[in-house]
Amino acid sequence: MKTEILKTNNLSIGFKNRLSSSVLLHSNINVKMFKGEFVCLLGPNGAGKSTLLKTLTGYIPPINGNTFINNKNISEYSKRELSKTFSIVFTEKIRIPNMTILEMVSLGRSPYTGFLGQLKDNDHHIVSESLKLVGIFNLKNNFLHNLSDGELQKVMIAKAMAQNTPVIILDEPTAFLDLPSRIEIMRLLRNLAKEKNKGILLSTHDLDLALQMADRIWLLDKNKQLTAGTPEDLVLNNQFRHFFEKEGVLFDNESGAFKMHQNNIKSIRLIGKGIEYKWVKRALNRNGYNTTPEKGNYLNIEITSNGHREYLLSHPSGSELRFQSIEDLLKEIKNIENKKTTSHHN
Amino acid sequence: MKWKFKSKIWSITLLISILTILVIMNLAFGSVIIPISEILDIFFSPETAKVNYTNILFKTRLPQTITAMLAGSGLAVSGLQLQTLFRNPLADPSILGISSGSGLGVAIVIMLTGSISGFLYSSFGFIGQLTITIAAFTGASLVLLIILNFARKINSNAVLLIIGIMIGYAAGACIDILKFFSPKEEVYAFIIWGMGSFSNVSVNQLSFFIPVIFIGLFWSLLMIKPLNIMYLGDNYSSNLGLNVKLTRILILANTGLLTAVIAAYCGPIAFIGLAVPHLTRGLLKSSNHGVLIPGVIFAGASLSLICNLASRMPAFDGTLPLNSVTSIIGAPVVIWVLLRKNKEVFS
Repeated sequence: MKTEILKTNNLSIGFKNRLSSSVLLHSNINVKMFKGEFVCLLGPNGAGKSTLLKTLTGYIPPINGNTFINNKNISEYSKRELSKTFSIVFTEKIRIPNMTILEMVSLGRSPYTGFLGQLKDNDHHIVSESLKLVGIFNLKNNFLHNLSDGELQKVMIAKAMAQNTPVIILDEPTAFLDLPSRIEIMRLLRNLAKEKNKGILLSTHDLDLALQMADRIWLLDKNKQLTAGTPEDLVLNNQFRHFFEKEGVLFDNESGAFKMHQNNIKSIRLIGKGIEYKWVKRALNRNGYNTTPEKGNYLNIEITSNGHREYLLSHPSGSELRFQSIEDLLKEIKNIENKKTTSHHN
Repeated sequence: MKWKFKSKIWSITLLISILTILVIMNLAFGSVIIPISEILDIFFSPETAKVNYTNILFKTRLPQTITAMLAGSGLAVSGLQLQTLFRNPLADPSILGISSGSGLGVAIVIMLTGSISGFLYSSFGFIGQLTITIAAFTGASLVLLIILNFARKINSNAVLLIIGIMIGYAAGACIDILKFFSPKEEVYAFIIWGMGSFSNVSVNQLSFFIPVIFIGLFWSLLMIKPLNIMYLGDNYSSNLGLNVKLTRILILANTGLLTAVIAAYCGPIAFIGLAVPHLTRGLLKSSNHGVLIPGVIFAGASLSLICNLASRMPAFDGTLPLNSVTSIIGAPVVIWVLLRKNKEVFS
């Protein structure tokens, strides 16, 4: 049985400005998060993701409605209790000169330490554990100012682990990281949620990673009701497509990725299998060709699978050419295409 | 927190040794050079010590040395706290306008009393010195109150910093107007005050100066944990359960008190508050305030004694303006900090 850890009840979010009028961004938000669940909050810039996260953590008061953590309204938590309930990781990178990883992660114990911030044995143990979980124990004496952005974000996640809270909330932790680091951080967070039975919620723009790794996705956009669900359900009921519709961009339900709208689609016959087939198809799609296994009055490409890469390009007229790379293949296809256009004009 | 403490202890021991040597040099060197054996005599067997040496030591050298040490420590500790609070390597006690406030207080006393009563302020003597101290303290406290009031209402440290700088400008402008309408003797008296000096604190005044500075230094030791957390900025600090607003007010009140008292007794001393925290971080290679605060207290006292000694040059005959000396020593330090690799400075 899954245990509910975070729940909102008809929550309305927005911000109050000085003139006492309030700007309402979203209303009637009813979402849940369970223990051990990895949830991704997706939405375009300006959708109100940060505002939602800040409201959930009690930084901004809600316009209306309530948020419950462990069935207790967050407005009833004291500041100290909140610091033991949520740990937060922000996008901003903090490079304090002369501070070591160990020192930074130790700061995660602040809600538990006494007046002078001295760590006890138990605290040392938890800090070491957190460093190991995130995989930076060996680096613990390195200075923060020598770390890469990805490593630095791992340090902040370790700090959040050291804070020992049932919920971890991350505001775009993967922004500005390179792709391998983004994948690494997402996998790490997913594993932490499972291993430590924590509820982990993060906002991100990495749609494809979220689709692969999230247990649940919350979709948020301006003037649209927050929609939550298992990633695959959201794809199949077209919610994804609906949320990310834009001029010239289409969410492809089949591949789970965005595609550019291409006009003047031309057909090409492609024969082959496996990984070679997939990548050739991709290259052709990018160049505006629709691939089909059917015979027709168009170009024909056969991928030979006798050990080494070779692409056999044949023209409806019968001429045949062999290529060793996709680059050469594409060049020739473009050539043929150009010739065709010129001959039309003549 | 398990900071690497033992290696830091060596560095602090080194700082204390340097400080001790500097204290002795400050007592010994001056227009009259007192041999070290005589200094020891004065403290350990007063009956055999020479009376004129005893007089010089207790009436001028010792109060001046104590004043220099405490002022240096106080300014350095204030600078460190403000640099952490504002996450800005260029913050120092003068940045919040508190020094300018004390300057305005003094300018009003020196220049307005003259214009109103018809007497030149410079002819008032000892009473004048006391009035200047009170005026400086009042001006500094008023600015501090204004800043604290803003600190309660404004969430952004950056905005608060800019307000402080603006108040400084405004006070500076008022001082300029006063200068413009004052006779040149009084402007000169004000300029002399503005150069700063450790020699204006009498033995009697030390009985007030010492305890107040000690309260400020002790107060800063209590801020070690909040300061370490404040490094992370408001968002993270708040998430770690720190009352950010209260902490900010406590830090500002502490640095304000120290700056106000020091400006009142010694004038607006430049650069020590800015330079010492950078020197100490470089020396101790630490970011932990549990190490840095004791570090800047000793380093601040040391640098201040060096400046005091240097201001008695050339040839220990007469004195150079103290602020010129601190700036000549301080400016290269600041330039060095800025020229170091970017990542070493706050990003």
